[in-house]
Amino acid sequence: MLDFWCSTQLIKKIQVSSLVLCLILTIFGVIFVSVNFALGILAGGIIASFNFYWLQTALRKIFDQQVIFGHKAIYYAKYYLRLIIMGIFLYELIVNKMVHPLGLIIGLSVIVINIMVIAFTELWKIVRTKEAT
Amino acid sequence: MKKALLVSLLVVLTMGMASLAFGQEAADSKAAGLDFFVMTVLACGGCIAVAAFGGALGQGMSIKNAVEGIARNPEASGKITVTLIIGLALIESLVIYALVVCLIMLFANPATSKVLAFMGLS
Repeated sequence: MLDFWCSTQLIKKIQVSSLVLCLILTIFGVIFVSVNFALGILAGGIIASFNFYWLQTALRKIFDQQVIFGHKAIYYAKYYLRLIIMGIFLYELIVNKMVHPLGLIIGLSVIVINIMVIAFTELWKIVRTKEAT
Repeated sequence: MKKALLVSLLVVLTMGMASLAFGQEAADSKAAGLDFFVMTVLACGGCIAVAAFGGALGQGMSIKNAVEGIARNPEASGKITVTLIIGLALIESLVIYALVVCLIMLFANPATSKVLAFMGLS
């Protein structure tokens, strides 16, 4: 069970399921709330997923022992560039009132929601296995 | 710990005094309305400062421990990195929430139009 939590499959699972969750929430937003709200969820979800992808790529390269230190400096720079780009996007979205702020916050939470869901699923599996034995 | 507590108490006290001073000065509606914007900016500054401080502390500690772990056991590098990425994403999301809340308070505050109307500026 611990192997799953330490495997690269987990990262891919989080990335894919975040996009799926984002789409599902967007559809719910369009149906039950408003288009502006759904746009907020979609924008937030895309920003969060992109941010997570960029974070994991940069960290992998930084912690990779094969990559020499001079090349790692580029990834350190990219790490901060990611934050600047995300800040600019969020600023534009909120200041120009392109999307609903609450939808944006829900969209930004898709990665966290996903990690929580996966954690509870794995916990449930452990409990079920212990009960069976 | 005691020093940190003392400093935070002093900050809260100073901000409280400032609000009292502002309250006394706010004789007319325009000054009272201006208080709202001053307090909003102060709150946003404090909010983002605390969020950045907490996030930096958490990320720094997790990266320190990850690097130590990798140095002790280089073969576990992949496993440690995956756990680190998830941890950092969780910490970072909290700081992003703080940033979004601050941006909303500053640029999309629903009370702004009411305060401007109260000040007679809309």
